Amino acid sequence: MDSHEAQSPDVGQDLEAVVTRGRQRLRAWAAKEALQTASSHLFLVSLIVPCLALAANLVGLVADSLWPFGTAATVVLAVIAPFVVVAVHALTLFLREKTDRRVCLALYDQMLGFKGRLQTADEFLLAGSQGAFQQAAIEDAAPFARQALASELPAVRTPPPALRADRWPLALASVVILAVAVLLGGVTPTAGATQVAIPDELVAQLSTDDEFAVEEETEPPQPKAVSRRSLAGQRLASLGESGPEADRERASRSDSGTGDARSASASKNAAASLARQAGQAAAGASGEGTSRMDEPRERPRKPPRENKSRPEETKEEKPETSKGVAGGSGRSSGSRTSASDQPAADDKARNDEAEGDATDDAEDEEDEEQKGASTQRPMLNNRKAAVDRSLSPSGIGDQENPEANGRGGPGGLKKTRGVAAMLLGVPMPDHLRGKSNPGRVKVQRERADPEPKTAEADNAANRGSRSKPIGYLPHPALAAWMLDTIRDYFLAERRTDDAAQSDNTPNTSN
Amino acid sequence: MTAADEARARADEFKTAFARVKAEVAKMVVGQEHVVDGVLTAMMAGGHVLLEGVPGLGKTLLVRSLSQAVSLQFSRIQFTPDMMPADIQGTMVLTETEGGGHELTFQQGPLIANLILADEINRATPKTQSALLEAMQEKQVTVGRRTIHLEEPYCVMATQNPVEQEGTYPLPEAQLDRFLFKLIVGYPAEDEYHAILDRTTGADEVDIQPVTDGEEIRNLRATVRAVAEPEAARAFAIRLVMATQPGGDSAPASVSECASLGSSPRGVQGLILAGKVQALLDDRFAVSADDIRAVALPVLRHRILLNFRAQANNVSSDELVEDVLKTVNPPHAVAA
Repeated sequence: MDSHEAQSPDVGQDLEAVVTRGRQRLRAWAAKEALQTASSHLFLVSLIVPCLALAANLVGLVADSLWPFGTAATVVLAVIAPFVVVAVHALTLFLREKTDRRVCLALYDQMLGFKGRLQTADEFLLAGSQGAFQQAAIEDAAPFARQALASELPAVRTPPPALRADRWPLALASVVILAVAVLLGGVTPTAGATQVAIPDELVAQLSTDDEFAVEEETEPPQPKAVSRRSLAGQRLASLGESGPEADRERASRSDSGTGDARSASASKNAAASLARQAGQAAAGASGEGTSRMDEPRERPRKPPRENKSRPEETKEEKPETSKGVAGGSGRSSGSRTSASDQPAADDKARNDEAEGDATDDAEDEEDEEQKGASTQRPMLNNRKAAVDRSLSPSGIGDQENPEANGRGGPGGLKKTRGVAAMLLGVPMPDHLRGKSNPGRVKVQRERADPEPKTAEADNAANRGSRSKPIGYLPHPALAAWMLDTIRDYFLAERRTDDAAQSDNTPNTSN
Repeated sequence: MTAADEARARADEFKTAFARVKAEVAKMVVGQEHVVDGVLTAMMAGGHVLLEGVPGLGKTLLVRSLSQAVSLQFSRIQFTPDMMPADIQGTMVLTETEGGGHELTFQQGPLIANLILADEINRATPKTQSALLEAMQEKQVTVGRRTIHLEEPYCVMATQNPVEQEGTYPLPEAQLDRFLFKLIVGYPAEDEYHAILDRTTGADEVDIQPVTDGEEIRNLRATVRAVAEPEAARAFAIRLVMATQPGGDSAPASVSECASLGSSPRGVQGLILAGKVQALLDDRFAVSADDIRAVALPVLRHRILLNFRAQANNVSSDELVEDVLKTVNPPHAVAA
């Protein structure tokens, strides 16, 4: 133990020194690797600023420009920003890299071929409790630790920053995008630069268009109304609205989702909301909430379709629609052209439109289901029974059953159900060649009492005498000794019989 | 004498004994050094060995030579298709007593010995092959109500011919898993042919002397088990075994595609035990990832069951183990 206690501190110090050196080495590697990894994204990152500038300037074609930088600043930003992002990314990667103590020792074990001696000794030293072989392993590692301190690790070649050839087109693309963005930025109107006086005729024309669109929305929906309305809103927004007429227009479009409409005065908003509440109260039977009415209209309305299957629903909708419009205008003294009742009519129209959309969607799905299913799908009010409950696999041959009503039974080739439907439709030959399938064998037992039957004896017939010689019959040739034996046997038998007869014969000669 | 000195002495003793036995076997067996090392490693680690090779390469000769060198009770079983489990385990036979009466006595089979040579083991039916399962794992034989504990060291060395498939029965996976090593015996080199001719066709007879015994082998086995196993080596062995299991997270793509069964936990035990022997032979006192890597092929190759795709594409289990070794890195390893 003495030598162990003497050597352990030395080994421990040496291992600590090895860990320190290994950690420095690993951190240098980690820095290089982080830079390499981050730089591989340089060209990709270089696209960010040009794309942002391009997008902002594209938006600026139709609205206020969102890009706050000038041309020179944009170019400088496009050049500098990728490097800044790469540097931050590399720093993040480097700081995230943890250099474990065991990794530092494993580095020397691996590089100098120590077969894990340093790592093993360090583990056993830190564990404390040591057996004989653990102590031997620690002592065994001492010269290797000194060797590790004395030797320099072989230089590891770090590849240059990964400016991959396949990413060069990204750099070219970023330059092109930047140029396009700069060009667009030159023609983009800046915010507040153009204040155009709007002629009153144009505003009046726009408001008339809008009213016309609202009136049309109470009728079957037309996509044209939506586009015209949005066009009017865009024109108003781009030209810059001013004057009382425009304010009224803004008040009437307070729920259209544009920023211009929300800038109307509070008093007019209050009037508009009063009229809207009146319209909702009148059209309350439709069950639509305000949140539903405030939803932006994104889907273009579909053209009306004829619905012959449910005429009563169409009839029910019409009075509701007229009642909603009438109610909205009744609260505001029947003046439909006033600004206060315009939102109510607008909401009502949108409400009806949403209902119409939902009904249309349901009908569409129903129609598609019916198209996808069999054409013989029964109507619910049709209470006819099935044609036939037979489960025969073929139905009526290849022909469609004209009487089939979709309620079971054979309606065609694919109308069978149950086990019979799982039979193969392809005729298969019998496994026994040359034998046709006998088909189903039916065994029927009949109840009958046994009856005794008499049988007559069959007398043997007279075959008659032989009329011709039977011819030559070959006999197997017997050996001479066998012939003699047989002859002797029969002679002996004859003598025995003769003797017996002579004994039994009464003596009549006296 | 410190504990470290004691460990050093035991390690030296192990190396010396290992070299002695190896030299004695080398008197008879020419070449095949990796096979001889593998057989001795398995015996020192307390495992069993399956030797696979075409006829005439000296598989049986190697085991027989080893049995002579280690002076253990040796029995050879020539497996045949009509062999029954009772033929190798033993059975009750009716014997005559001194008084003229009769009684049933247990006649033990050839399985009850120290070193078993199961020659051409794949010629016996799985029924008979299964009779080895209990003996190989639990080191005991149960016949009727009688359980016979087998004496240590107990080692089964089986041979099989990979080419001849007529009238053979592949070993079941449960039995394959019980072999620590599967060693492939290959053809000798040209100079080894000369040595073989010198030793076998001349007038001189090779005499193998016993250089160790059962007691020493038991001590050597205890030495092997005393070798330290650091966490890194243990984790590496576990990762290797888990990588052989198809569908696992660490399994390479080739394993997931071509293997239907991976190694069991016996594979980890085998890697660590055989790695300890390697560490002792390399003058170290703790097993390392390099030792695990060195024994991975013979330990894992028979524990990977190939699927139909592997057989169709002629992919061997050795290739899969090589893939696993390339894929799996020791813990804390630095990617250079």
